[in-house]
Amino acid sequence: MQRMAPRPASLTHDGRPSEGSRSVTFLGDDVALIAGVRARSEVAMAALYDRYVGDVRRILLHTLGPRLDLPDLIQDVFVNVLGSVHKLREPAALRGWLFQVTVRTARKHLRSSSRRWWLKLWPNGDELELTPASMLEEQASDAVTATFQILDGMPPEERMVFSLRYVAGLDLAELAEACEMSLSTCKRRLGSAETRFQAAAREHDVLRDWVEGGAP
Amino acid sequence: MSLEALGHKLRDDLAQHELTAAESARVRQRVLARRAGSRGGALWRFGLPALGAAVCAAALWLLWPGAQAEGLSRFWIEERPGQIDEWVTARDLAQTLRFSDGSSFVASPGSTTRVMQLQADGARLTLERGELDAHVVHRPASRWRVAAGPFVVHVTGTRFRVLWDPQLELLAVRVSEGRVVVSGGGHPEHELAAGSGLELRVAGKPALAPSHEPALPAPEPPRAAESVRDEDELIRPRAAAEPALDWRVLSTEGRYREALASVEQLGFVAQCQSLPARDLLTLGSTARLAGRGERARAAYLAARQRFPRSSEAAISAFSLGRLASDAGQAGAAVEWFQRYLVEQPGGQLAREASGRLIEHYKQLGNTAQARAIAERYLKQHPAGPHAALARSVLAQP
Repeated sequence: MQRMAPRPASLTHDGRPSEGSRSVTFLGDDVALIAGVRARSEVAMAALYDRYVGDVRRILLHTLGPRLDLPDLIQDVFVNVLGSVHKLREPAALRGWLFQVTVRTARKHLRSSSRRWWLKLWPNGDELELTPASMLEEQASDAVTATFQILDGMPPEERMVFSLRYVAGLDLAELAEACEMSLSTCKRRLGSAETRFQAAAREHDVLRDWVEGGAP
Repeated sequence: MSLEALGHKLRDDLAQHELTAAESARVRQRVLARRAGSRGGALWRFGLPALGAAVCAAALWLLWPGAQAEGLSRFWIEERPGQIDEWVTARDLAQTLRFSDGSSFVASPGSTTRVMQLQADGARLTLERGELDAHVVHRPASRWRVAAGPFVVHVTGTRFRVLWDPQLELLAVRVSEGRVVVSGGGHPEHELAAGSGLELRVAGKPALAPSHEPALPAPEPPRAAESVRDEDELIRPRAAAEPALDWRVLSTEGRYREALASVEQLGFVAQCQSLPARDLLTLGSTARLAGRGERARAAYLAARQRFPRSSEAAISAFSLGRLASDAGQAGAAVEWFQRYLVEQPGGQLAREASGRLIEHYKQLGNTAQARAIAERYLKQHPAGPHAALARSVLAQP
């Protein structure tokens, strides 16, 4: 997992101001941040949120697609992180651990969705209300819509590795760490996911050109 | 390598789905509030006796005769006070709505509901989708209603479950105590007693059976879909249906050309004149993605003509703007995006419509309008996907 230089919590990884309107400036590195969180410092907790909300949002968005309940899932991740921060053995590895918690949250969400058969009656997932869902669909590009239609039909584990690799852009080492699996398992699963995705994409009007000959 | 290129494209496209500053601030506030309210160690050391006392107090409250005679004045969603018109979505866990007269409604995971009205003699709830397990305390002249799509379940005091599937337009009710009356959906009223159940479709609605879904009800002919059944039958896993080549299913699977061909077989014009508003939006998207802009336009125009002033009509205006934009017709695109903003100034596509107006006014060389909208855009959406464009427009002399 790529190591990041400590930076003020009021900036995201893009260097942009963080999305919260009352962001907290916490000048310590991740080790200091974790020490503050463990000491139940609200400033440190707020700073952890401000520092990593962009990363968490991107992983969830890139694995689950545009969804109305994205804020709820982000909340789940941070509640889990803050509630289990005592389990983090190496504070300097905060970012990697946070990625793992985020991936676990996304995976859990996918599995619970796939168990509830009747929720599949709604084409775009289980939390979407009818009109807002159609609005999301209108906002999403054709490629995004088509890709997540295919991903929705894939086994959750394959979907996760595929979307983290190609949509989120993680390299193989990052992918293996985020998914908490060995590199060889990761490669095997990714290979299977690529085959499945490409087969479906070739049948898809919007994606055919991408998988057959690069960008349309 | 093409997957890598597709990934780049997807990342660019997904970048527009930013959390708004308000959304992010709300999440942050909720996260910090949850942490402030859950001091793990402190709970075990000091909180457990207090929790025990609270449970005893709650039990006393429930058993105390005066408590249940309080009447209906408020309700709680889990442990917090609920608000009228507040959406309650149960995601992975059920959500319980408790009312001050002792009645309760449990929304199963995946359900969305809200309390629309609270009166002394009952409440009115809407089940948007999913399942409610209800226990309504019987009182003289109590009047509770659960609306689900076009149906209404009238309750005086009972235990019952109601499931509403908006996609299939299917209502299922089973009563375990007392009685309910179900009305609406083009059907006569049905009174259900304890031990009975009912499954209804909207009258005249054909069955929709996605071929990829193994657990769907078997297709039923219109109007013959109505039956009073044993309650066990309602919760029994349903038999697999024959694969149905419904155009909506084909569209969901990304087979847009086949979906459109299926609609053409049924008669495209006739479908535009008979499909419900949401299906017309789906038909428009399907045609657009199949590369048939003129068909998409016809579907959206039909939605606007047949369902004026509906949200679907406004979404159609936005979609017509996007079609015009794709066709390089900036003037027409401007008209449609403006129309969307007139019809739904606070709508969920308002940000996108405003952003696209900036693009097209700039393209048309109408600097004054582009600047005016850019200013307004930056005030309302400073971190929106068109913020950089808006700033560049304002930066120009």
